[in-house]
Amino acid sequence: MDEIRGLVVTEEGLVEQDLMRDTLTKEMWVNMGPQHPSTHGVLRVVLALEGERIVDTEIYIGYLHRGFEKFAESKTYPQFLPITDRLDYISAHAMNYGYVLAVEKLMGIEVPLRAKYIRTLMAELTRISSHLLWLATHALDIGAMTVFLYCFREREMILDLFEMVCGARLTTSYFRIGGVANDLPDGFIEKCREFCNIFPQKAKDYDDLILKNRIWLARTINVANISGEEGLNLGLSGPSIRGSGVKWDIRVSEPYGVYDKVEWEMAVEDGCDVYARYLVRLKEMRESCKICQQCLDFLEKDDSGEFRAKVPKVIKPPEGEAYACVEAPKGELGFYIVSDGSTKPYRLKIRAPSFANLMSLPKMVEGALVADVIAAIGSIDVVLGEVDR
Amino acid sequence: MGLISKIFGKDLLIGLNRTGRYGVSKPITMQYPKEKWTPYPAFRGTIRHLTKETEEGETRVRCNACGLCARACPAECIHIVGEGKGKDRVPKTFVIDFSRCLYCGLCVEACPQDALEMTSFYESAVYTREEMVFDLDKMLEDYSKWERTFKK
Amino acid sequence: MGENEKAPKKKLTKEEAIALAKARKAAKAAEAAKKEAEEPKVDLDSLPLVKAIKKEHAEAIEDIKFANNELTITVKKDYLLPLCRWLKSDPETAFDYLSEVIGVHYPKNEEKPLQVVYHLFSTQKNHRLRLKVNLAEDEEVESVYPVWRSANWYEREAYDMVGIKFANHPDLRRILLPEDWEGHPLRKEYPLQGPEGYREKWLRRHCRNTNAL
Ligand code: SF4
Ligand code: SF4
Repeated sequence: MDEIRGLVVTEEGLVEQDLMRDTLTKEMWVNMGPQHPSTHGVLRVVLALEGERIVDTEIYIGYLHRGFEKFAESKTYPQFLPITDRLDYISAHAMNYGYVLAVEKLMGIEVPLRAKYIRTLMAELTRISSHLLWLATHALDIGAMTVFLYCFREREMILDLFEMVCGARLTTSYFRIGGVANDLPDGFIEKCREFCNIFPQKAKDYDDLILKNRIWLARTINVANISGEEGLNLGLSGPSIRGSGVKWDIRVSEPYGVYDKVEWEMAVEDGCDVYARYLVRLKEMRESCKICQQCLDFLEKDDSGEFRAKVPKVIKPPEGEAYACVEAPKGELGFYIVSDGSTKPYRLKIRAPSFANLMSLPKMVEGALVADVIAAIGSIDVVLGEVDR
Repeated sequence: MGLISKIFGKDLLIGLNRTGRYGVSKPITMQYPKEKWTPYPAFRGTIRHLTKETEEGETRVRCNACGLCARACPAECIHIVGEGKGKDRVPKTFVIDFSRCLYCGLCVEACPQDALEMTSFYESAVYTREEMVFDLDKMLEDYSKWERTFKK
Repeated sequence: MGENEKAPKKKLTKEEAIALAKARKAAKAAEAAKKEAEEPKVDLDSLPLVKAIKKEHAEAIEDIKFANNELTITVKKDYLLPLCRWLKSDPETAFDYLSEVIGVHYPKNEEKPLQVVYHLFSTQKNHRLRLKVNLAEDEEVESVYPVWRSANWYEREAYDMVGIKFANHPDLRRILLPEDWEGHPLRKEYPLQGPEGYREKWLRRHCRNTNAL
C-alpha cells in the first residue's frame, strides 16, 4: 500500500505520519451461495477479493447430486427416459432427445420422417422456452424486472402447447425410443402456428426494454470476457461459445433430426462478453421460430401418421457402446452408453453442458467486480439440476 | 447513441412507452382458486381405473392383474396382488403410491387391457403421506368430486 | 398370462422342441450373417485419422475399433499425454475440444478393471475420436490437464465416481460428493442405496439432531 501522509492527534499533539501504518490489507473471502438468488439453484462460489476486485474463484457443486448415472444402471432403457427430464428441467425435450438418440444409435433404429419433424419441432420450442426463462431471470438478476413478466407470458404459451401434446408442462417425457409417444393432437398445428406468427412481434417487447437500454449496456458490455480459444480449452459450448466468435453448432456440424433439411442461420457474435451471449440467444430464439414454421409446413401436409418406428417390445441393445450428442439450449449434451446386451445400461454417462460451461466462470470473472459475477453466471445459463445430475 | 437521444433518454423512453401501453391493457393472468384452468384432454394427472361390462351384465374392473404396469414403472410405486385364474383373474389389491409417482404415463402405455387412465385431476395435495397411497376402491371413484371449489 | 404360455409348450415332444430351437438358432445366425454382409467392413487403415496416428504414434496404439460410426482407439497408458499433445497441435487432427472424460469399471477384466474414456472433438475439422486407456487397480494415468484445461473437472468427476487416480492433476479432490465420503459409487460392487449401515453412520457423523435415525 502506498504511503499516505497526514496529521494525526497523538499524546504528543499533532504529528505528521503515515496514515496507513497500522492498516493491514489482505485477501477477503466471500461466500456467494449456496442460497443466492442469482445462482438459480444451489451453487456455491467462493470469491477471494482484494478490495473490490476478484483475484480467485473456487466453485463448489454437488448439492443437488441425485446419482442419476448409478440409478440408470438399475433401470431398463425405457424406464430411464422420464428421469432424463429431471436433468435440465426447463428444457426436458432436449434432454429426452439426447438420450433416445444414443439408444437408437446403439440399436440401429431408423426413425420415421414424421417423428423426426415432430422431435425437431419440440426441441426448437424447448429452446425458445429455455432461452425465454434465461432472459427473464438474467435480466432480473441484473435489475430489469419488467422483462421477466413479458418472457413468462410467452413461455406460458409454449408450455400450453406442450401440455396439449403430451399432457405435462415441464417434465414432458414425450419422446420414446424409436419415435414419440403419440401423434400431434387435432388443432395443435394451428395453435403452434399462431404462436410462431406472433412470437417475433412479442420478442420486440424485450428489445424495446433492454436492447439499447444504457443500464443494460453498462452492465453487460465488456463484462466477463472470454476468448473463443480459451473457451474451447475450458470446455465452453453452445450459445456461450458462439458469443465468442466460434462457429460451432452441433445442429450444423453433426446434423441430427431434420436440421439438414430446414433453412436457418447459425447465430454467432464476436463480442466475447455478456452482451454478445445475450445477442446470440436472442437471435437463436428467432431462428428457432423459423425452424418451427418449416416443421409445421411439413407436418401440415404430411398424413403418414407414422410417429413411431417398429421397435422390439423389450429393448435390448446389442453389446457395444455409443455416444450421441445434441445441441441442447445450454450446449453440447451427450449420452455415452455402454451396453452389455441386457435390458439395462451397463454404464451411462451424461455429458452435461452446464457442468462444462461452469468451468470457465473463474476465467471470466478474473479481476472483475463482485457484481459482475452475477452477470457472468447468468450469461452462461447454468441449470444446477444438470450440473450435479 | 447520438448525444441528443442520450440527453433526452430515448432508450428509456422506448421502454417506458412499452410498459405504459401494457399498463392499460387487460391482465392475462388467471386468479387461481376463483378461476380454474381446464387441462387439455391429454393431461397427465392422477391415475384412475376403468371398468367394463362383462357378458353377464356386471361391471368389473378391466385390470387382470398381469403386472405389466408395475414392471414398466420407473418409480416402482405400483403394488399388485392378483387372485383367480385365466379370465376371472382380478386384482385383490392394487396400490399406487402417488407420493412417488412421476406422472410419466408409462404404466398406462404398458397396459394391454387399457385398464388405466390418466385423468385431468391435478389438485391432489393432501395433508399426510398416507393419503397419497391410493388403493383400488379409491382409484375407481369419480375424481371430480374431490376438486376444490371456491365461492366467487 | 403365465398359464397360457405354458400350455402349448408342453405338447411338444422333446425332439420337436430341439428341432425348433435349432431352427431358431439357424435363423438367428443367418440373420446375423446377412447383417454382417450388408454392412461393408470398414477398412480401418483407410480412415484418414487412423493413417495420421499410425504414421506419427504407431507405438501408442493397442487396438483400433470402428463401430456405430465412431472410431475408438485404445492407447497404451504411458503414451497418452504425448499422443494428446500431438492430436491437439497437429493441424490435420486439430482436436481442440475435450468433450468428456469417463471412468468405467469392468470388474470382469481382472487384470485391468478400470477404463478411462476420452471423447475428443475438433471444431475446425469437425470429427470425433474416442480414446481409451485400460488401468489396473493401483495404476495412475497421466492427467491431460496440460493439454485441455477442461480436463480439470472431468477428471475430478472420474476420480470421485469410479476412483481413477490421475497423476499430476493440479487439484484431485471429490467434486460431486462431499469430501469425506467413503467409496466410489459408480463401481460395480457399490450397492445402489449405499453400503449397509452407511446412511446411519453418515447421519451420526453429520447431523446434530439424531432423531432422524
Ligand atoms: S405414471 Fe409413471 S411413475 Fe406413476 S405409476 Fe405410472 S409408471 Fe409409475
Ligand atoms: S398392466 Fe393393466 S391389466 Fe396389467 S396389472 Fe396393470 S392395470 Fe392391470
